[in-house]
Amino acid sequence: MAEIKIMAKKSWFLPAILGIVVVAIPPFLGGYIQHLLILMMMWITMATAWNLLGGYTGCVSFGHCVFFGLGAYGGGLLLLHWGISPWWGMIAGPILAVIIGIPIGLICFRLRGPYFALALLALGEAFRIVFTNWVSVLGGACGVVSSRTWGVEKLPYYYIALAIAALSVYVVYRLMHSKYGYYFVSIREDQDAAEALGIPTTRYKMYALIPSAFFTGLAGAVWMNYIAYIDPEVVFNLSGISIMMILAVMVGGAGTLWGPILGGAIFVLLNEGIRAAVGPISYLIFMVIACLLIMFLPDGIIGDWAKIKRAFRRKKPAYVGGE
Amino acid sequence: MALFGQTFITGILMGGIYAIIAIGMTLIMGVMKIINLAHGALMMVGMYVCVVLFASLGWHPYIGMLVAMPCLFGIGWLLQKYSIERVFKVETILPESQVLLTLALGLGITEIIRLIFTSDYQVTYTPFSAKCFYAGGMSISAAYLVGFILAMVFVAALHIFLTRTDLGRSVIATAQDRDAATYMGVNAGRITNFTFALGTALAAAGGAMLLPIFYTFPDVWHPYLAKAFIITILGGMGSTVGALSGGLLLGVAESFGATYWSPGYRDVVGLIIFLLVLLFLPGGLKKVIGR
Amino acid sequence: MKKVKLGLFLALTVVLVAAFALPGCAPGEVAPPEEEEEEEEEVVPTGPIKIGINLSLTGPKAKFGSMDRNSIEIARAKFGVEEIGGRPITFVIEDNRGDPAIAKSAEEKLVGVDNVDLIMGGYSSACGVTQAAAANDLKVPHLLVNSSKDAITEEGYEWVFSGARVPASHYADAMWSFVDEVLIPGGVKKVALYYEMTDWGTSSAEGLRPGFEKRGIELVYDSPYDSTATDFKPMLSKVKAANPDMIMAVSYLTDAGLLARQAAELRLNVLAYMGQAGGYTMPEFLELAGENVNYVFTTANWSPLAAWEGEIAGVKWTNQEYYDAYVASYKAEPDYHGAQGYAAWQIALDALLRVDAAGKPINRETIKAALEETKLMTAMGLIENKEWTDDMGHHYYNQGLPLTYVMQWQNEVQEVVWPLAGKSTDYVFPVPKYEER
Repeated sequence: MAEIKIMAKKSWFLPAILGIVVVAIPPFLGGYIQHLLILMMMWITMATAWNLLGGYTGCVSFGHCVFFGLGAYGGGLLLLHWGISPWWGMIAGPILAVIIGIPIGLICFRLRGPYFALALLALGEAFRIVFTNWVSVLGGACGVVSSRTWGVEKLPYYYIALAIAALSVYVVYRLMHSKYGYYFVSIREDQDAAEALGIPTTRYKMYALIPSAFFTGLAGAVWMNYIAYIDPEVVFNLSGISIMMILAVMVGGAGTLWGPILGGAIFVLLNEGIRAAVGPISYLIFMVIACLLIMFLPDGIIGDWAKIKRAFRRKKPAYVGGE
Repeated sequence: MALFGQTFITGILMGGIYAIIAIGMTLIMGVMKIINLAHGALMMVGMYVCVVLFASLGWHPYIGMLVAMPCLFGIGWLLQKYSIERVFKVETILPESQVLLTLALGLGITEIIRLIFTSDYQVTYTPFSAKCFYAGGMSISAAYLVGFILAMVFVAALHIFLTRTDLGRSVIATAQDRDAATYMGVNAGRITNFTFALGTALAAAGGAMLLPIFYTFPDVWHPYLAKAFIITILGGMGSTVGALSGGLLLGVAESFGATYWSPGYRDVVGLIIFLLVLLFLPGGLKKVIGR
Repeated sequence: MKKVKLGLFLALTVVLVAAFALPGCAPGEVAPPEEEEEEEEEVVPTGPIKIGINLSLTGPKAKFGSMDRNSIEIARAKFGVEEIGGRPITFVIEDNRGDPAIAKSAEEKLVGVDNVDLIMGGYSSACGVTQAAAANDLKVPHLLVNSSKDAITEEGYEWVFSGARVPASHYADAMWSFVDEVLIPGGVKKVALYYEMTDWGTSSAEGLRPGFEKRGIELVYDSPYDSTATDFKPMLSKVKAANPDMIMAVSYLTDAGLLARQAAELRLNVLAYMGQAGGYTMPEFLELAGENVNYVFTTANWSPLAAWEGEIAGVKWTNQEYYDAYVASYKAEPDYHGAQGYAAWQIALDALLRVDAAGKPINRETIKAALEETKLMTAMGLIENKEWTDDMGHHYYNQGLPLTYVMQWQNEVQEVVWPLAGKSTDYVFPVPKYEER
């Protein structure tokens, strides 16, 4: 069962340290590290957003790349058709993602469990194909290229990404510590019982979907501005975006607040670290790790923290007397 | 008129091959109630077995299939017993962990194959593959036709197996109601293992039929996995007749979509059908056919 | 609550570890290490000359990335220059898996962590775009290898050089004269155009369409298609129904093979089937399509038969020699992608040598200046990096224009048939019908 974590008053200390670290240290780090941190922030945002709908509300979606892609294309299309800077996409993208997300939710929320997951997967693929083919309106396979605003300076991108990640975590935190949070979890645990108790499940699922789509779209808009190149293959990508989002959350711990944060960070580090170290078999190692994690720590690192502690404790010999 | 006929015939033939690929998945889904997203990757492994046999011994894939199927049966058995079943038993926050595990397994298998064989395209092109029959302005490729016939044979054999043999009936029983089957003396765990292995072997057969008309490489399975679960949902979980009709329907729909709408939107046809069925026909064609 | 604390602690540890323990925590842009005594006002770098190579060595596009890397290695071995001015040349190879985001990460790592002086890379256009943008921002000279998207050199990146790559819209340059002088007089009035639907196909089609329209040729069929499809008969049937005189196709390898096979099965007889490089020029096309490759025309920008030759670093080279060396070492044939890789090293080496010959220290600025002056004969022909505008309205920077040809498969071998000056055999036009072969 997921515990709704209530932050005890005295643990403001650690988050404060963390806050200082992520805000103050990066200017002193190299460009490559900053690049990794920006990616980390994006993935944390995506993982947190997915977790709201999937981990807390139980609607596992295999097609969140739809919202990511729409968020990215929000800015991209503005640039493509009207020459407007993709920074306006930071507003247009998430809004577009939510606008499209609402009908998707209304139609798909009557499906349960794996059917919902697959329906979203199908939608993700459909969007990819449509965006690839409909050249006149959506730019087609050539994608959208934009020029980068701050050239070699990465810090502005980093702080923006950081702010967005922090905002997404905050929103999820507030939602989960409110009436909405209880309703979401009850929908996840037993949707029929929730209905029987009078909770309008579709409406509350929608309340989970909207922030989820919004923040995923926002991450997409950040991608558009930072990477400065999008095409349907990259942003509406099933294995690269949708699945990875889920794996990042699973690694960290679905249904927890810190799980997606940890998962997102680990995901980026692992990917880059393994790739740099090992090269060709990096993807394989990542998949093996994912398999092992799902098999042995199905609730993720945070979720199964108790299990991890127990594993370590077992190794300690029993105390006899003092130190 | 010839265009219509050509489109229809190619659609049906392709559909038969889709059906055999999907039938394994629908069996597995019926018994385990999870979507096996490793199905595509396992089909690809079957194709590679045939490629290896073709390259070293010159065996045509239809013969290589006879080796690939037992191989994949074994691999499927091991996967199910030591990996997937583990996750099945554990209570987790997200019941979809199993689905994710199959996906991660599938991607992992793909990478292993890529490591061994590289990403190069492998072909088993024989003079037989080029043979063609001409009738009324339409051309029918011999390889397609033979693939289709073999697929029909398999479907028929599977149907007989499921309905006429004890083992087969145990499979159906486990699919319909696991607990009741256990009370009746069916070892549900064993049957699940068996079904998974059987489904995987059928995937290998499908791959072997696809190989002569196509080619293979580690990522070949992505579109076929999608088609497989589209057909599974379309036909109704666990129904062989459903899988067959779903496969044929998908094949024809795709063919017509490619001809009369646009070749680029070919896969969207399947996805749209999928979404429509999910939303408006939840039991799949099985409900309509009445089996 | 304990769980929160531990979670925070973990996250903190992860971030801290990431921040400080990852390799190469070098702050910002590192100036080359200064020597004790200042030599005039210039800083003389010491240490190896590092060349970064950013290619897709694994993943679906691995074949081409590997071909590029192998060709660069062959070139390096051939010219044997292992050090310049006492500084050894080292390669730092990164694999971007064909993913544009990873390509950008790799570029960042090569610059920020490995401190390379020059980067060569880019097979797919998507990766080329992100790599070029990153290199330009980071102020490191980047030499493109294959990426054919026109836009990459239209952006005005001063640090990005086209090298031996050909912009997609120019692959067909030689074809147009062939169309004017042979095909149109030969009766071609209607053309069916189909192209695979990703960037490669669509950009090429955008370049081809105006060419056909300008010549008054009617496009009776014009459609993208999914290169991963199994069955092209529906599309080919429609093409057949439209009754074209010529087919123009832009495809990758596997779809090229299937199209050639299935067109033969459908008896889709046309006066000429012209494929735009890509899959049609690859040696594996023969494996996939068998005898159906015969009589297929291709636009090409390289052929093992092209008689390019020259001398770099005192070592004479010929194009044919590269081809033979590749076949001998890797038991496979290279195609123009590999030649572009070979030429890339030729261009880079030439630039490095010129910098050294001028007595300047080898660093990013001097390499960039040298590349701007490049005018070198390579395995792809004469390569220059200049600024110019073509007749389609593309304004390029640092872009040259390698020669293109039209080739034709005859007797399962590719022959150069146009321009007539460089031909290896006569073209066959109109091509015989399938029934008569």
